Amino acid sequence: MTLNTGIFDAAILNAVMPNTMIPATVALGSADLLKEYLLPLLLTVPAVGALLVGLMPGRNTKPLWTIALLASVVEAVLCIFAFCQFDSGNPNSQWTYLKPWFTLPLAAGAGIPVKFHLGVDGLSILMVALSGLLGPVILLSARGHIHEREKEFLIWAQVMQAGMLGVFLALDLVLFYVFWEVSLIPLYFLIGIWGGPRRIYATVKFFLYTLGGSLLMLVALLYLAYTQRTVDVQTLSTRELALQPQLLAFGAFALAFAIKVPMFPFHTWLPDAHVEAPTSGSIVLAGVLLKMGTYGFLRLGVGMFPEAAVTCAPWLAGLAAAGVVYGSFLAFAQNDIKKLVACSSVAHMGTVMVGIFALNGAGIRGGLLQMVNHGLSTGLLFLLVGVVYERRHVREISEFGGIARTVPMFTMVLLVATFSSIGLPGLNGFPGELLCLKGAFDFHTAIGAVAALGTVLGAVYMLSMARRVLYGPVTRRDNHGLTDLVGREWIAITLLIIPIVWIGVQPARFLEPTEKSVDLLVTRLERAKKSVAAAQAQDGARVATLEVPR
Amino acid sequence: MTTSDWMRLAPIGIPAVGSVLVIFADALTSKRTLSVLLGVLSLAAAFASLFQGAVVSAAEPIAAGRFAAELFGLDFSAAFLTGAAILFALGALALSRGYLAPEEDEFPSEMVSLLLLIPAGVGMVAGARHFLMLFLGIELLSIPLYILVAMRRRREAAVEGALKYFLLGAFAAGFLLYGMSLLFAEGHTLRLDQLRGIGGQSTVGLVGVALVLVGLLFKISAAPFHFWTPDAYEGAATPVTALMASATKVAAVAALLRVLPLLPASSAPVLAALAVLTMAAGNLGALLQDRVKRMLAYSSVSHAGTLVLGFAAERAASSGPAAADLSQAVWSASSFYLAVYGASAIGAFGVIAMLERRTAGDSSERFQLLSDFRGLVRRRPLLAWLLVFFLLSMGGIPPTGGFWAKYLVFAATVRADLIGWAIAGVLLSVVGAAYYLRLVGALILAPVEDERRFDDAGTAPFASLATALAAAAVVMVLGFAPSRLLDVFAL
Repeated sequence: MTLNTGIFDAAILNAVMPNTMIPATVALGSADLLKEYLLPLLLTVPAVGALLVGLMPGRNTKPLWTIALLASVVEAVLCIFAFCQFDSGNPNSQWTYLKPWFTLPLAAGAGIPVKFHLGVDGLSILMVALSGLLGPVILLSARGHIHEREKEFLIWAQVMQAGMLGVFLALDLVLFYVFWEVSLIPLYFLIGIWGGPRRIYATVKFFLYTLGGSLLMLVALLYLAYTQRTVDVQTLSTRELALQPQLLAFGAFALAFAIKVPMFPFHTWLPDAHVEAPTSGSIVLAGVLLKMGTYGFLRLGVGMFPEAAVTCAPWLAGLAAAGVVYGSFLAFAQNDIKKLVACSSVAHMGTVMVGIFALNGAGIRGGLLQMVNHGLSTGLLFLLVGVVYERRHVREISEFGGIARTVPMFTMVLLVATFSSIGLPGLNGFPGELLCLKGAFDFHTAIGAVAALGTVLGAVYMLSMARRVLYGPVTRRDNHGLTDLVGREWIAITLLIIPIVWIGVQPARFLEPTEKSVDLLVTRLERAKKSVAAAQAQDGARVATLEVPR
Repeated sequence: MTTSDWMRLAPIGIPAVGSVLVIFADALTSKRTLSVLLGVLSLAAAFASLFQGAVVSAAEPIAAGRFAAELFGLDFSAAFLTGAAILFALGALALSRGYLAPEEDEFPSEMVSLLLLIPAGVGMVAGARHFLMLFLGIELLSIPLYILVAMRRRREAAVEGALKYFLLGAFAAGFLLYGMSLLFAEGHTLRLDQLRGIGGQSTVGLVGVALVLVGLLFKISAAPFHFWTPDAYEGAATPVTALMASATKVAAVAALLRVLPLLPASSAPVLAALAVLTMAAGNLGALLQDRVKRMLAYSSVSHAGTLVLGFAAERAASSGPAAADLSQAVWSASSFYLAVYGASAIGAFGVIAMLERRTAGDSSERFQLLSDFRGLVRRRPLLAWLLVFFLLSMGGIPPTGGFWAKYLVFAATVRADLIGWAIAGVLLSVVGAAYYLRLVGALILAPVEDERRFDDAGTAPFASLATALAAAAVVMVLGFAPSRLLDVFAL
């Protein structure tokens, strides 16, 4: 085992002795106790919610909704509490929770310990807050369109919440993988039971596509486990692996994540899934599930295989930039509003990927912020599409037009969502996109330039959608009698608009928690860049000497 | 024979005696409850005997000339497999209660009697130290199975399935015997411990081992020897199918684990290729089926493939420094796999058996086709979700026990450096997920055209429901806490 001395020692110390900060003799205050068990609590609250809903009789559905909503509000409060209490000065995982789970047999009396290891740091804290916030939003939006098999819906929505948070909190590869796959099943049912006419096709496509990617990741995971004799993410992040195995393992992980993000050309499952999913399913899919891919890239792909990431970065960033342009054109060609938003997701996630694989401070920070931004703005857009769909049961842009006059409040909110999505200064999209592009230009001018096209194209398709839906003459008689937003919808919308404006006005507050962890990652990446450059120079020299034999 | 010798034989002796007693009891009284009671009691006694001196240490030197030591001895690993088979037989017994239609002599005592012989056979195979015991054990469990498959004698499918199973089974037994005779000619003994590595020593030895392997691969239904499986599974009464999927697989794995040390290390790629071929045949075959029991039969073929992949890993490492570790890892992975897959199979076929139950005088076929299950969740939510849970476990999706089972086998494969084969295996298991999802989709997602269809589906009897719930509990506990079993293996 070769440990590099320096930056990661603190991480190891923190992982091995999570509670050294609190002497046992000191009586724990309730706040300390809460912090110590905060992360497992984040997973238990939705699980208990699901269990309670499951145990209640299903005849009268009203109490079921109350229980589920209550659980999701508690969850949201806990997630935001975590965000507020997060120590921005600490680059390592905080509030770690560690419990042995089982041992993978290796030799007589020895084995690879698999641990129930949770923790949150600058890379995950924003996603934890976002997942928590979206919980009530999803349930509130669902109240409008889930009218059958409500009990099952509430159970799966809660299980989904637990699975997604588990992915962001897990610090053990096996645990990460388990949560990664666990989060597949609820969405399969969410789309498959409550989706549109082609829901079964869409949900099976989604499931198999993602499963195929993740099973290859499983093989890479096992390979790592046996060569490195550990599955702890923090320990693996400090190992210096040779480039060749890094590239192989990185490739397998990257495929799984690229399908999830989804990166062009692995994006074909996404429009189908979004179009068929119910509104709540779309919000969860766009809001959190896709971010599992980008988060995985950062935490595992870049974190464990920095040299491989540096080697592949031009390709991945280039592919992502191509995805930005391609997704934009796809979105421009859509007539179905929901499909348009789905395709815009491909473009926006492309921007995130460009930022991450710029592999510099600005890009990664921008990527992290943009992950949240996309969750908020696309979540809001899907929510609004759901609002009109519940009233008209159509989604074609041509079915609307001029509804600004009949539903002014809806119009206002849709404009906010549109502006947030295209990155208007003052709203959340601007700082995120700016940082991503700054990072991209620092990395490579051409990639930055192509990715920057996305902002222009985004404005084109989003604004033209807004114009065609909202303005002009009212062409359909049905649109005259549309009801504007109602109370339940207002609550969900407000929950999303507050952070949209807040991030836009004060992005520093949201970038600050990520600062130190990103710095740590960038330091490691700088070293990786040097070693890769040195290796390439050596290779070049070797080739040169081979070419000129004397 | 001393008392301790008798104790050692108790796990196989008690059910065998019980089997005979059931037949006598049936002759004395027409009350079927008595035979069921005898069956349950003898299975429980056999299970209890595993904890009472029946288990011998694997390290104990084998004393020559003593039957209970030279031919037979349940070490810990064999005792685990025997115990699993006893529990599976108990589950099948519970499921068969009231399953057969009245006009087919509902629940004949003969069925109990034959059913008891199967765990006895598994125990004999698992504890075999000698090829003769191995062969006897396999026959002891195969012959009752041939009869059990044919039990519903008025059905063409049952007779056809049983005939295929019997003919091919007899053929396989021939291979096994011929292989054994060659090994005897070469090694002048049939003791398994003295025949170690014989496959690598001479051509005759290699051919002998290969023939034995063919016979056993037939039993585990590995490709290309799997063609009997769908017919036999479909033709048999569903509780019997559950038993074939669980206990028979245990016997085949136990036998293969005994015979593996005879194989040369160079057999690893052959085994791996057979494993991947089996997974392909099973998964692709299942994808094409419209009848649920056939589909699950093909799925059981693909599970056999995964198990054989583990054996390939064991052989691949057998000449290296990690040989002992890996054979321990493969043993624990296979045992875990059998426990989870067996419980899932008992559960899944149990749910189907509950649905198939008919009232007196009704001889219609139902819940045969995939489309018969459409929309079941509307009327039978518990049964539908239970079946979904078992299917997800078979598909290896966490947090079910099935995930860890797959995980452990692939872990051993990767560790033995068979990474290419492991990748082929996981890609084929994506195909596997596709057909499990087809059934899940029919159960949960599909709209239901006519809900009244389910109204006359028999009410779930307590014993069957309890069995399915117990199986679900096993799969769930092993899913959340695999250490429950793994820690036991590590002792």
